[in-house]
Amino acid sequence: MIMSVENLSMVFGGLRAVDDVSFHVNKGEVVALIGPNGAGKTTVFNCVTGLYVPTHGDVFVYDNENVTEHKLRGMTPDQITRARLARTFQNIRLFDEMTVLENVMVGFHVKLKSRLFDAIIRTSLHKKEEKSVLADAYSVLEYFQLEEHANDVARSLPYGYRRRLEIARAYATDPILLLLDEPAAGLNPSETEELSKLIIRLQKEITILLIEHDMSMVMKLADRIYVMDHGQLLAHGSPDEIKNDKDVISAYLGEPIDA
Amino acid sequence: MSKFISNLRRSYRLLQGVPKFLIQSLMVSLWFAILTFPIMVIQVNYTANTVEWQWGRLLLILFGGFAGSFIWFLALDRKDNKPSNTSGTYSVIKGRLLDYYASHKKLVMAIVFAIILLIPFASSSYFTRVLISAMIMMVLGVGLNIVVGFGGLLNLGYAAFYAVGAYTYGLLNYHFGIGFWIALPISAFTSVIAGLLVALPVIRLRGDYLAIITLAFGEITRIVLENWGEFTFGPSGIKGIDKPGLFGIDLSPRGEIIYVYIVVFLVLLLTILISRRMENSRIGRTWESLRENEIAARSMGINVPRTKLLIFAVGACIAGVAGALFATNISYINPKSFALLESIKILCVVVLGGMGSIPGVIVGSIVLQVIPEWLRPLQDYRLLVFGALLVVMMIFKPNGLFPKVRKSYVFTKEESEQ
Repeated sequence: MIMSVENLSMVFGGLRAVDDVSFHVNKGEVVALIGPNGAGKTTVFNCVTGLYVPTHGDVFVYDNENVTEHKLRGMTPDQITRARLARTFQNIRLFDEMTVLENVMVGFHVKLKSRLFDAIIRTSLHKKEEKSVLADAYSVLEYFQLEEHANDVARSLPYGYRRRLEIARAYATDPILLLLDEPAAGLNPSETEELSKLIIRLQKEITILLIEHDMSMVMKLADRIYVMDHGQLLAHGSPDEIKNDKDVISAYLGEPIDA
Repeated sequence: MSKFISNLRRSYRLLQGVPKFLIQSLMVSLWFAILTFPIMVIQVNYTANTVEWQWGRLLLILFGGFAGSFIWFLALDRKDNKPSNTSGTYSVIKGRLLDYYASHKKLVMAIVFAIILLIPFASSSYFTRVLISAMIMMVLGVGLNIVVGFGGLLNLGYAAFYAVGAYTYGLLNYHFGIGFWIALPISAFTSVIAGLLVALPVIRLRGDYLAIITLAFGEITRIVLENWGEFTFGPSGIKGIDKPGLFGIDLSPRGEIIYVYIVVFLVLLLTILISRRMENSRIGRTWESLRENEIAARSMGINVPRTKLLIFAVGACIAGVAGALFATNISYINPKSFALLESIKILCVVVLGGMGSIPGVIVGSIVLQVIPEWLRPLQDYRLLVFGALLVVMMIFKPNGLFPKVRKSYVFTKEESEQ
């Protein structure tokens, strides 16, 4: 197990956006979180990554390589990134006026140690790290096939590339678990196809938790699926099980009249 | 009636041949003449109890309005239909100059520095003083550029940190006779403390809210300086602050000015160097990412509150140094030098030059500090010129006079394998 979410609830005033949700993600899996709009999927992501502090419940992350366990409740987003969780956003959040390469270099922030003082007097640590981060960032861009645009300003990239750059930037933080919030939103079929290939490639290194509305992609990629509706977990199982689940079908398509 | 309409139609068709902005400027000048008619043309002579009609002024307004708006529309038109200026002698020369600069960077820099260092020996003391004040403005601009240009934190009370630096040196010098070189780091330090004190409560704020709080802080500082008479000597300020020492050598008044000029220039160089180095580093990248998208920056593992504190501290530190320079240059400080207008002026330097751009700060300081000296007769209209300049800038050069050029990294495989 790499992450477990236990009895998570998030209440905004009178609205229970997430209501007692528990699930877990195993190492090496691709787990999908699906559900109709407003089901509370993104709120779960925001609770996990520390943007919201959940009203109840806990999230645990297990880093087997370093044999550490983190209780994410009460940790700030940057601490959670240091606990090796990375995410992308539903509405792309790039550093628009910075170059593509610099975006990825920011992703390496947690891996580096040089401080302001090192930069001012150009210590050997600073020089060494700047050199390595440049090479590392460039190889990440190569991995994501963005190296041609390394020195372009992120704002100037086409939409599909922007999505990919956001994943590349998250990848640069060296996560054990990558949370992708609707990565295929707004992509055309061929771009979605490319994205699927990319996720399959990433899965060999990183565990992935995915929010997605593109069902054909989810069914193809996911090992397990959790379905949410009205803030609650509705069902969970393999893609085939979910496809034939009555509750899921009625949540998406509505109740049959005679039921 | 129908004849009248057809006549109108015909004259309208005739007008269509005329460039559009000719008609537009005619309209503008007419409208302007009507608008200013009551105050400009009708004059009441109170002694003779008669009304005087100043028709000459009306003509002047009509002509002036027409010419002014015609130039304005022409410029707008040129801006929108800008021809691709890849050819033309101007751009060729510019390209060659840039190429030459790129290949002989060190030589060009050395010549420029030599000229700058020689200026005070050749020019009048007055002009040297003007240049000193421009360079102090550049130091301030570089400092605020870090806060606003890199960090994206709109700070409208920057002059307060400037004041803290100046008063630290002024008071230390007055009470304890401490010299400039010892006071300089102390000024920087007290400004950093002031910066952190302001930043601590406001790190959660952004944009407009931050601007308002820093504005308030700037005003509070000025009011405290004016009213805490026992400590700050109130509005009368501190007189007779020492010039920087030079190993105990006595300098002539002219030599003193030249010495201050060189000191300020060296501090400016150091500030620019440090700013450049910070910008292209791990920490500098976090500043810019914070400006671009705070939430994304947080999820990249950046400690946002700490980064904001750091930005404020670095900005305040530079302002403190500039303050000490100001105090030693003028030898006299009072709260008036650190009013809101000063903060706005520093912000104008940054915005006018181009956010995040150091050449921009240099040009902006010259525009806003040296040129107004030549326009002394227009002193009363300075604010008007300020405003007009900014409006023109926003329309014709929205990114500033020297917009920031992003650093592009050249990457070769061999380099990484070394």
